[in-house]
Amino acid sequence: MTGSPLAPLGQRLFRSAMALPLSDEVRVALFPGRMFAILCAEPVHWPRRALAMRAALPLLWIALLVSMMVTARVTLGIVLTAALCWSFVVLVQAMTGAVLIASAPGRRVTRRRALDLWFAAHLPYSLWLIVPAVWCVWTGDLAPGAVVLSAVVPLVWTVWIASGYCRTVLGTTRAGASLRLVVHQGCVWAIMIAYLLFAGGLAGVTGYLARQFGVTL
Amino acid sequence: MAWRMAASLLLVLGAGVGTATDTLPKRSATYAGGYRLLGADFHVHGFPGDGGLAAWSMRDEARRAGIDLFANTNHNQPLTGLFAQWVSGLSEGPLVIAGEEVTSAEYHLIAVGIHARVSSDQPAVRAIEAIHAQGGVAIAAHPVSSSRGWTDEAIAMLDGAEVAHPLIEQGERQRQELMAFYERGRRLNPNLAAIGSSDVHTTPTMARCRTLLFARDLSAGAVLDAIREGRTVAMDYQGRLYGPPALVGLAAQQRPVARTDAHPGYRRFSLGVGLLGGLGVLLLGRRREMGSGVI
Repeated sequence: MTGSPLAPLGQRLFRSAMALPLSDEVRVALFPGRMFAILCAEPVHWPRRALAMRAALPLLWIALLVSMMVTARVTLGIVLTAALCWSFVVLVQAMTGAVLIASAPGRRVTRRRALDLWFAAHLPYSLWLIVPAVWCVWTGDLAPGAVVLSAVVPLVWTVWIASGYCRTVLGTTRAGASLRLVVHQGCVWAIMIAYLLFAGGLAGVTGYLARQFGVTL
Repeated sequence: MAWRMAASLLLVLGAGVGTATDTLPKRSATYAGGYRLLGADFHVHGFPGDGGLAAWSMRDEARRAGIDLFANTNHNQPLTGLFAQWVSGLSEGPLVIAGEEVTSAEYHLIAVGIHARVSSDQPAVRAIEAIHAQGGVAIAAHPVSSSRGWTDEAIAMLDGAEVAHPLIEQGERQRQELMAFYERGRRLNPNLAAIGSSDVHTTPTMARCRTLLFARDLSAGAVLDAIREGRTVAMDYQGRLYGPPALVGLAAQQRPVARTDAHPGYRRFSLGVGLLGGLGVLLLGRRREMGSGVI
C-alpha cells in the first residue's frame, strides 16, 4: 500500500481487523499479503494439529451446508455422513496445494506449515456456499443460473488471496505466482469438469441447464 | 478463542436439537382396490455422482418424505443405484431399486430395475430395448418439447412417462407439455403409467412430486409389474392427481401419507442456530496485536 493515497485507510482497516475477534481466515481474505507474512513469522507449537484443524474447518462447513441444502435440517448423522462423502473436496485442495508448494523451492516455511496456510484461503468459497444452501432451504430450488454466475466472486477473490500466498509464503515473484495460479486453476477446473462428466455427462449438464432456462437444444 | 468456542457450542446445540427431534415416521400399509397403495419416487440422484446424499441418508429422507420406495437414477451410470440398493437390503426401511437416467442430447430416459449400464449413445428405441432386456422398466424423463428424440415408435415402447415433475412449477406451459406427452403416449400405449418424480439432486425436495402405485406388495417385482401394467397415479406438488380416472378416484379416497415434519419449530431452530454457530466458527477467532502475539 506504500505510496497509494489509500494506504492510511488500508492501514487503519488492517489494525481494526487485527483488534477485532476475527478468525485468521477472515484476515487472510481481507489482507492476504500482510496476514500471510504474520502467520509465516509466527511459531506453531503443534503443526500437525494446526493443519488438521485448518483442513477440518472447510470440511465441517461443507458438511453443514450440504445437510441443510439436501434435507433442510441439521443432524449429527447427516453432517457426519456429508463430511465423509465430500471429504474428497478437501483432499483435492490438499493435493493441488501440495503440488503448488512443491513447485516453489524458495518457500519461507516448512512444507506442512505451507499446506496449513494454504487451507487458510477458503473463506470466499465458504461464504459463497451459504447462498445456495439458504436459497435451497428457503425455496426448495437450487437456482443454478444464479449459483454459477455468482461463483465468479469467490473465484476472483480466491485468485487474489492465492497470489498473495504464492508471493509471501512460497516466496515466488509476481510472474511466478501468476504462472502457478494459472496451472493451479487449470488443475482444479479439470478435476471439477471430470467430476461433472462422471456425475452427469455433457448431455446431462447441458440438458439440465437447458430445462432450467427453457432453451431448446 | 472464547468467541470461536461459543460459536462451536452453538453449532453443537443446533446439531443436537436437530438430531434429538428428528423422529423418522413409521409407515403403515394402505390398501385400495385390492392392491397395496405405495408412495414412490422413481427419479432420485444420489452421491457419489450428481446427488448430494449418500444411500443411507437418502433412505431416511424417503421416510421423512412419506414414501415406501425410490429408484436411485444417476446420470448414465447405475453404480450409485446398485450400491444404494445393496445398502437398502441391510436394514428395514424404504425399498431402493437401482436405476439410471439414460441421458443423451435427444432424450432423457429413466431405467428402473436394471443391473448394468444402458448406453445413452443410441436412439431411444434401442435404449428402451436394452432396459427391457435387463428386466427393467423405461420411463420418459421430463419429456418437454426440448426433448427431440421421442418418435412414436419409442413412445409406444415406454412403460411410463413423467407427467408430474418439478418443471411444472416453472409455469403452466411446462405442465401442459408434460400432459400432452402423456396423452400422446396413452394413445400409442393405453397401459402407459403416469409417473410423478422429484428429480432431486441437491435440494430438500425428495418426493415433492410422487407416484402412487397399486402394487401386489412392497417388492421390486411387484413395483415393476405395477408400472408395466399402468397401475399408477402421478401426484404433483400441489396434490393434483394424473392418470386413469378410475385409479385417480381410488387414490383420492385413500391417499398415502405425504411428507411429515414432526417438530418444524425445533427443525427451524436447529437450522438457524446451526448456521449461526457454523458461521461463528468460520469468522470468529482471537484478537491480535500488531507485530506481536495475542492480546
